[in-house]
Amino acid sequence: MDWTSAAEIAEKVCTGSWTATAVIDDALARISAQNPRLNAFTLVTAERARQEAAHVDQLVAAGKNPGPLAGVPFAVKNLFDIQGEVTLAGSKINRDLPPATADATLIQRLAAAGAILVGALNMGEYAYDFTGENLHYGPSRNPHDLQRMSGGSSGGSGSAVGGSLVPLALGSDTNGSIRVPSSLCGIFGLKPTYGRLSRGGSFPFCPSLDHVGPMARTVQDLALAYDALQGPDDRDAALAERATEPVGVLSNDLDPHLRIAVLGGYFAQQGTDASREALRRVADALAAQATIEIPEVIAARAAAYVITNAESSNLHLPNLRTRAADYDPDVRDRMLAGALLPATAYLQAQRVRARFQKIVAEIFSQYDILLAPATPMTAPAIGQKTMELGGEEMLVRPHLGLYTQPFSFIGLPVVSVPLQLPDSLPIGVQIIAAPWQEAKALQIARVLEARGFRSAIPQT
Amino acid sequence: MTDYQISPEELDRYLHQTSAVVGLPIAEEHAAGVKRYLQISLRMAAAMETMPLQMEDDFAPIFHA
Repeated sequence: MDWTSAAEIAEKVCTGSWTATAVIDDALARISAQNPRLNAFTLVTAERARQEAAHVDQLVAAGKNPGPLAGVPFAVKNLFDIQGEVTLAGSKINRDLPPATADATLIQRLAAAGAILVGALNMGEYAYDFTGENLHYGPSRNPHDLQRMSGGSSGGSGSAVGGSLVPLALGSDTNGSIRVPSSLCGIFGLKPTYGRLSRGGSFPFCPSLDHVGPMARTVQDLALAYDALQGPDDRDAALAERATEPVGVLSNDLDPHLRIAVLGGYFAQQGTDASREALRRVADALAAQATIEIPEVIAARAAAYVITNAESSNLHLPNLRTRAADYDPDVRDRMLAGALLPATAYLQAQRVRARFQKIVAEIFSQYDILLAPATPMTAPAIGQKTMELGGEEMLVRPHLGLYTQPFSFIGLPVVSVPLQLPDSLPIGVQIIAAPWQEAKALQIARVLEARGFRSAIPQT
Repeated sequence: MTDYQISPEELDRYLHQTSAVVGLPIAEEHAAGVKRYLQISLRMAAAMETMPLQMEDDFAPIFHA
């Protein structure tokens, strides 16, 4: 069952070929055996999982429909509330909070679809991270090379899915925290349109940029989860009032009418040979002819940085005043700096955001899909502090998401698609669509998967 | 002087004065790290200044009744 997809598990459970109990016992045994290497889980909810599995099996035995994700084990970044557990958000400080009184909305949605929660996953402290490292709980490790970063901040999610502990996980993405670990761990990740999926019951990081979404090893699993996760929720004020738009079963065929462009300029200059080659291969597979540049993308990325810095530090101001020493130093120092930024910088960033949204909307009047690398490089070594990109040395932690930030900045839906170059670690390419066009991005990702861009089984 | 570019001495003064105004004490052992990230943030703020904006590029939130 190690590498079995969520869709296949659900099909076998629904038809009685497998029991949900056997699936969960197998997943728990795998977690027990492999998690000490990967450090992906911070909590395993074994008792709850076995109870829920027994319930799914009872439904099947009674001839009732257990749901489209029947018996599928999943885990969540530990910023999602789990009833009866403390929501750590990767921190030491949150250990003092009371246990959550209810599951996060997205956990409820997956459970209603028959999926079974098996635990909470490691993450960068308060999601202010692209590395997957964590001072308090240790780094989540890359399943393709245990000495390398998983990427973050949804590092445990990338490690658990890429390392075959679970076929499905939830992450959050403020600047790239689903797409960066998806890229480095060689899996698929969906960051939906801002306001598409409820953040109800998740610990906030930067409210005007926070997104949540699924990570999986196949595109159809992403789509299955995405369809189950949609719906109204009064726990998230930013959730858009839209009808659900299920994507269903995806086709392997490329729609010849889709206009696809490769992003050059900024998205080529600051990368490595790996990111450029990955983009070229995806573009070739889709026969994408046009290469375009997005104007003002450097300013947009800078504005995303400033908004994140200012909003996150404001949320944390009370604890920064009294418990600064309890933060991871890299998070603390960045948040302290953010609390001291002049208001005019934050307001300028919001105006840049409004302008950049118009610029990209104009591009989407000419193209349906844009392609860009997900990360500028394959996984750095755990502990690596700096990297050289485009001839400039820069810190890894704040800059590993420099290709993802411009798109979450304006809330666009993006699917990260993995590929593995010869003698190399995995790296991802972003499939970017216009707002609310998740279906198009997922469809292109499915076409690429059918053409060989697959989640690679780790050899470690 | 270019926007948001300040000398190390000015940055030091800025750190101490704004932290006093905000009521956010910065421990001496944290100051070097905070200044490092403050410099990155100010560099980002400077990068935004190059983008031409118009009065209608506003960010008014939309409220739903």
